[in-house]
Amino acid sequence: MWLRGLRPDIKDSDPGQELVGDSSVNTLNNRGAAFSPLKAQGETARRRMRGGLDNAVKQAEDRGLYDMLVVDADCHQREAYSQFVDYVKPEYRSALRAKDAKRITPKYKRIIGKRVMRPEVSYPLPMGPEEIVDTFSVRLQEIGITRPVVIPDPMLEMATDPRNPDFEVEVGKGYAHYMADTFGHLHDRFVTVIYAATTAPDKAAELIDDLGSEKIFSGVLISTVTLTNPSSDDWNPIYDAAQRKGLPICVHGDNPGDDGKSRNKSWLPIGFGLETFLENHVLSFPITIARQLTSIVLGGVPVRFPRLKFIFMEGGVTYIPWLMQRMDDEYVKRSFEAPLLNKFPSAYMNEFYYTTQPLESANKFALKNFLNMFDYENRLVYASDYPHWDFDAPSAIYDLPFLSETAKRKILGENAARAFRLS
Amino acid sequence: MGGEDGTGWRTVAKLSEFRHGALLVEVEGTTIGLIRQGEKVYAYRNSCPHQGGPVAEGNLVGNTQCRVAEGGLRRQTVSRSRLNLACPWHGIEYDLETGVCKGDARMRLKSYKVLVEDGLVRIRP
Ligand code: FES
Repeated sequence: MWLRGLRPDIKDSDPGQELVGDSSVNTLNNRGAAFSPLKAQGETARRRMRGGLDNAVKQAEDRGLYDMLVVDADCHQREAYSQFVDYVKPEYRSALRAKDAKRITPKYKRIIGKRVMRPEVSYPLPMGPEEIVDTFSVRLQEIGITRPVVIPDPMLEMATDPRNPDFEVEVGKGYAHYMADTFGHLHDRFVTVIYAATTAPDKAAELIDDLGSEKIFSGVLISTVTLTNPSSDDWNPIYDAAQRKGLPICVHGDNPGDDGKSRNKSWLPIGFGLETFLENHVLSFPITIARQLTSIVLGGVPVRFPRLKFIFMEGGVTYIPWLMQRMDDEYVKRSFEAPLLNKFPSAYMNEFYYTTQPLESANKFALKNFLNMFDYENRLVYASDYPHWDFDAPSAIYDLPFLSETAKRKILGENAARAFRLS
Repeated sequence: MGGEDGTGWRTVAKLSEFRHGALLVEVEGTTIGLIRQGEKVYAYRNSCPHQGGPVAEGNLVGNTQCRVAEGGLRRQTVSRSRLNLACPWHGIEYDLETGVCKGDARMRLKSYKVLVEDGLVRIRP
């Protein structure tokens, strides 16, 4: 069922029966796919697309978001490696292109396609540089986001690729150089992160040393689906380099095998044997994050690298108090296995940052209670996860009835500015 | 009160303008989606109770239902007659007839009474 069109002016109305129309809206093409310019508003001509973000633009206007600093700590390009394939060694290029083709299965398209109809949720189309600039420096600005942090989430599956470690290193390098070369001059509009190859920490550290001072990079990304654990001494070069450069470690959740199959036999997919995308998605992100977080805290990484900041991404927020309470309880019983710690695990967790999306707000009263169990006002950073199916507009935070104005400002922008050292 | 004829009803479209699907109209600054199914037209505010997405621009999808057969077996079907409006932002479904959210009955679309008369669609805002 396609939208037939925004109603144009009706010219032949019967006398006495004025028909109400709006001449400023253009007719949509009935597939809703094309950009169709709306009347220019201010400097930027808005685009009207079926299922698009016009309502979020209105929300930003109504809430005064244009007068606030709003940092989006986790948004994405559409998943495609082909954008930067020329930046990797020739012998890996066809493998990388093949990954694009495999990533988006018909099943995945079905999951997204019937119901979530936002035009930007179209896979697997790579984004050209112009669209990237337009998306992150114009379109997201229109919905009130001042500074997007672009996280290359296709990279998250690299840590378990059987061609590693050289493949993982190459892909990480390729992405970083592509972004620096193509968008380095736009660092005051949007920033991105350096992907660290956890199967080759020394090489990852070299990349951080090489490019970590470029202003387009605001963090170091690691996956939650890794073959080794993040407190392993093998990973020290990554932490050391990130700390030297003042870059936070961004740990982004992943879904290891949302089709019920593991990408690598060493990893039991969280969704193994589960039936639906829903079941899988409920568990995979917070659980894979919890795995890395547990290792980082109990292995004493914050003690070993005291100036290093951590940001945990896309797990929602409700897993945070659960994990704090559980780790504290078990730590008391077995503190000999975490001898570096000089305070409760929850105290370390209270020093990390967490992105808010997908905000579990079905029961606002419960959400308030969850948040009250940690230093949410100073530790949460807003993220949209744009353009993905479960994205949150800034209003998801702004409209929470129990947040103070100060808390809104901190969560929407100020905390992230501190975490990512954005000016 | 342009378009309001003194009875509270406001003419907003001609039925012939849309055979199937949705038409958006603006009434006093509010965007309302008219959704036509055969001769019947529904009118909902184009703002989703979830996060304010343009719900009326979404697809109509058959209601997925499941009954428990003997021995606990599940029998899942997708209805052809009972349709839900799926919001394009996150896919949340609302019963087309009632505007009530399928997954959370506390959420309901803002609806308007609709009268189809002499080929014109009239709503009471
Ligand atoms: S805004 Fe409609 S489903 Fe979220």
